[in-house]
Amino acid sequence: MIVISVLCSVVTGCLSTNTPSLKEDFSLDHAEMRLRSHSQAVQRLLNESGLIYSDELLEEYLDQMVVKLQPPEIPAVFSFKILIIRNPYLEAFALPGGIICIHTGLLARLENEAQLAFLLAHEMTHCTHKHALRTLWHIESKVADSRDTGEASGGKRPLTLFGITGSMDRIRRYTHDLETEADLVGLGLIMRAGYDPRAALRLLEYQSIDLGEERVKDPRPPENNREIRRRNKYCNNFIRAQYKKETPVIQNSNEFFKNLGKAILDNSLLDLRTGRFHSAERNLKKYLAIKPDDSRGHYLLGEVFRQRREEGDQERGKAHYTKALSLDPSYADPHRAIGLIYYKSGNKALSRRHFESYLALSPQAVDIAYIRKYLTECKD
Amino acid sequence: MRKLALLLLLLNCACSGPWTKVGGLYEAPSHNFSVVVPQGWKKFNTDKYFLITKDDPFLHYILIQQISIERPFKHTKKRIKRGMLSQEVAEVIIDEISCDQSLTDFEVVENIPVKINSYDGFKLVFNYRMKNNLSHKTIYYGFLTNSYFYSIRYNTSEEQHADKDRESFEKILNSFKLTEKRPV
Repeated sequence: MIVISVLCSVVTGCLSTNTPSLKEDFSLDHAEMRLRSHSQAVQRLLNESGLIYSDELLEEYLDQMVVKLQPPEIPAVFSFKILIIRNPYLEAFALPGGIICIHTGLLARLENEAQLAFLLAHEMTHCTHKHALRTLWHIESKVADSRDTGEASGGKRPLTLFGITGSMDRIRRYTHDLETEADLVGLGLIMRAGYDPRAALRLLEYQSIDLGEERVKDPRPPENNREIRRRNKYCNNFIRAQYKKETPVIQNSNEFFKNLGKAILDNSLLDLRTGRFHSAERNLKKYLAIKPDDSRGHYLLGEVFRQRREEGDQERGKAHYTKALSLDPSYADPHRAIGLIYYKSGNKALSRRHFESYLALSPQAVDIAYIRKYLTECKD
Repeated sequence: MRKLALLLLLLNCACSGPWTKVGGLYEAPSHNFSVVVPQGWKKFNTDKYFLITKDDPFLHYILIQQISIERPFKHTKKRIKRGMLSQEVAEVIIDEISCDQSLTDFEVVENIPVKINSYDGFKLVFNYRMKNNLSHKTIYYGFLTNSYFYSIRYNTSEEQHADKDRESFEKILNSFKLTEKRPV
């Protein structure tokens, strides 16, 4: 069960020579049935968890992208389903049977449609090339090998001699190979669909960039960065060999940002809650570059600055709250935020004015008890 | 939250050895506070925090913690900082709990300013559901001193305990005293 769980949750992929043909029979053997039934259980759990993010416009757009990328060889029986998960961290994974799970954080991080296409094509390849199943076979074959070698060496199995690490390393290498396969097949799919693969590749670096920005120690093992560099190198070689620069490319910037806008904004709230201030700031600035007159975008960016409390942040925050109010004078929350900034700086008159506006606009506010307390103190 | 649950599980499995019956005045000099505990409670033997229960710590406990300012949380990268308003501290606590993906249906029912041992603080009441589908209710008081954040919370599984020891909790809360000298 643990192995199956790992296979279902860890995206897998390989450059092996015996890649199954897409025209191959798609009938399911017992192992695949088990994997699919487990992935259905994961899907049920996700649905019940309340973590699934719902945005009809975005879901429709992603479905259209999948159709655009789907190789014609894939039988009609193989259908993809995309689940968007409410989570600010940059992750995506594929479950056996065509279920692709993408975190809102990763969608919000994307810069262009080519990157989205690459992300989808990569995950689709994990499904169509049965990477989970192949990893399961690989693990089973390694276990069988070690059993045979163990018997030949008088019962001392290699796993016992070298510890489990040796075996896990081989499995990890195999899954790294499968990742590379998903990259290369994915690049092929997006090129065929008319995207510029060079615009897509930066996707591989985002996780490391973001960890650096948040000044967080990379929780992934050190070989992970080496692996990303290796995948990047393979992809660049592939693009140099296969991509013709004069080919016209799809940009679709307006369509891309129109469909992702709500997710970017909603995810910035998750970034804010998790204290990922740099990520929230970057994504909100990206959002406001497309929708400069969105009062909620300005308010949330103000919140990023107010809560981060770095030098100059309070003034930056105030500027965005003021902009939000100029765009929507009936918006209560920026008044509360400006009131708090003035209250903390000791400017009772201005804080009182904004707190009163806040309560007038939002008489049922959840933090009414705090605001009344501040107002009482401001009157003293 | 999950870490605490795991800890409680290990403790529970390891027999009742780590638990000691308590009642009356309890002083925690290493954490600079004292409380008066009604009879019938047992305390987990640790210097890291003050944890008492009457029966099953999974379903019902009172926990008092002293946390250094700036100590990182598990689920949010936000920190409690010196000079924060009680409302801002409460928001950090809410964010920490709401970012814990092992909980579902997290809902804040009350968030108000209160005085705790003459310090400005906050009171939160929230509900959530654990992965085992058991729903819990927590009453969470918190306040900031110059160097520490103190939290005093009462957690019950709604199905089994509801508010049965609410009164005991209120008594413990009202008896809570800081023994560190308040900075002038």
